[in-house]
Amino acid sequence: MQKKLGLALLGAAMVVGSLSAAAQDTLVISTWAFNADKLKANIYEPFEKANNVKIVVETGNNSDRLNKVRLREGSTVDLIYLADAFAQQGIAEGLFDSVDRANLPNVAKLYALAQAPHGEEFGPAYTVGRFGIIYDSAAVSEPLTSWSDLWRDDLAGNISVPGITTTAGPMLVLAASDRAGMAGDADAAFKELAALKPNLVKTYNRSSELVNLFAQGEIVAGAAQDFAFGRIKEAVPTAVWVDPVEGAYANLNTINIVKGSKNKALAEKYIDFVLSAEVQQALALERVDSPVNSGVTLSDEQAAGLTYGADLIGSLQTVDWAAVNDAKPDWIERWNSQISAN
Amino acid sequence: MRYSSVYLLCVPALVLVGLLLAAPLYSTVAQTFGGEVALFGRYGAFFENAFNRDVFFRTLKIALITTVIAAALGYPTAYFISQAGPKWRSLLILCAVLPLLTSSVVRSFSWIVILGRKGSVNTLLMKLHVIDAPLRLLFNEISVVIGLTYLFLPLMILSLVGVMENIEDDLMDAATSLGAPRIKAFFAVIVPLSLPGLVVGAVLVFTGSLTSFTTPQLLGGDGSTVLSTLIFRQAMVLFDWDGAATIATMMVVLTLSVITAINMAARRLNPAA
Repeated sequence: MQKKLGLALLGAAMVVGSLSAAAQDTLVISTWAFNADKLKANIYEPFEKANNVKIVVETGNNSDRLNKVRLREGSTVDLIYLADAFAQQGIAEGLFDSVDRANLPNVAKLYALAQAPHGEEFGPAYTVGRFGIIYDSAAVSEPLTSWSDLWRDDLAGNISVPGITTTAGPMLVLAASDRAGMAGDADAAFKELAALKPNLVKTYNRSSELVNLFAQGEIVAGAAQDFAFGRIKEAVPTAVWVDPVEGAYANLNTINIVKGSKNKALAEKYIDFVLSAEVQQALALERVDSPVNSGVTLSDEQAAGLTYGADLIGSLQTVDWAAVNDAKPDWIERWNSQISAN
Repeated sequence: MRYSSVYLLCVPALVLVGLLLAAPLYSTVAQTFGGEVALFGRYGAFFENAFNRDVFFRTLKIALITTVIAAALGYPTAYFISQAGPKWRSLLILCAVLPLLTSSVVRSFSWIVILGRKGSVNTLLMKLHVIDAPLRLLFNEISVVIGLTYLFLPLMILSLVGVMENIEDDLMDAATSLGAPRIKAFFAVIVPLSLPGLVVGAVLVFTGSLTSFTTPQLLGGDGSTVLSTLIFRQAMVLFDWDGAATIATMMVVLTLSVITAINMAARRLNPAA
């Protein structure tokens, strides 16, 4: 009898439990698969508790996730994390809802470049990365210090750069046009890139390819995003990261609200939470994301490897992705006929 | 059970094939003709671009060369295996099949290790003082062909062994007893009878090489883009689904045409097969 009563109580508890779960709001977040545990502990769980909401995460790379939002009209996703190049595509296609800056008080504390990379109407950046140069200090005669050094004769058949269709590809085109002294000019840029060809072993499309090229000794230098550096350093301990004298390029990751979200107020609250100094500090200490909130303070040791501090962030070059995305079809065409052709 | 009801047993499979093969194939092909472009307009646009043309013919070339090399290497190997005693034969077949048990990523990656600048081939040649500086063996069409041949050779061998095993030894004895030299008997008897195996092997190797993605992605360089890597770029990076569908349709047509050509050639060589 007691056993039965116990079972009945358990059943009732389960019903009540599921009822309260049903009453809870759900926030669907589309992001990368990296660092899932750390994000859960530092963002999702505290936010769920404070707002009585259930967070559901969908993971994948930039293009896969943007594609899903595109294909599923009236998407189930509320918030989407994207690199700025991809966020700009989503904005151009009208996939995102506007955000009300009045609901994002923390934006005012961000470094200028992170506040409104796509204008006030759309989501701010919550972290910044760099596109610079990595080289093996044991394998080159002289250190590399500028973008122009990639063109050096002694690096013939020894470097790799990102392909034009990757996130960082267009940044290399910009660096090439700068080298020619004609910022943004495609003719000048591709003339320089053609001159870079003798140095190229192959272009890479994923950071893992670059890591392998370094690890197998196929290249001694490459233009790369900073998140690949850790793994390259593991494989090649003499590898060095360089912020070129002309300035590394900023790669901003943004959060936007997807059009059709029924939880807009909550979504804005989430964005503001991610931008808060506490969350930014915690994720920086966990080495997940470089902070863009100027209120975060890190020791030199804690900041190692991160894009941290007003000086460094101030030195970064930013990319006008709206212009780059417009020019990209032409750039791909030129890349195919001049760089990828035999 | 009445005979007609036996057909009902096929229904689940038919439904599956219809849903999972025919429908997607139809929507892929239909997509290339939709929208506001002239009939075959997307195909015209594809071939107007010199880069695309290069990719198309390179893909065909790589697949054909791989097929020919796999046949040349596989044929004698398969004959040797089919002539071995039953015990040895199963062991040899096992050896031929063994590489199939690992993923194509691993098998392709191993060639990076072998052909790399610090790889075994270069190290050996340097030690022997054949070369002073390491050769650039990777990231070109040759490394792709090497990788694909290694990948698909087992399929060629298996197809051939299956057919050669069933050729009666008596036929060879009969031919020699009638005065044919062994070599002539081989070409007049064994080769024509083994053609069906060669056809199956060639079709498998060709379609596999034409559509493979990992090997050209890992072993190819900037000058060796193939249709499958181009599809990936169109669909997953540039979001050009029409363009990707156009290339996919061309690959289907290309595969079917080459298979038909191989079959016709085989029938001409051996009308009985």
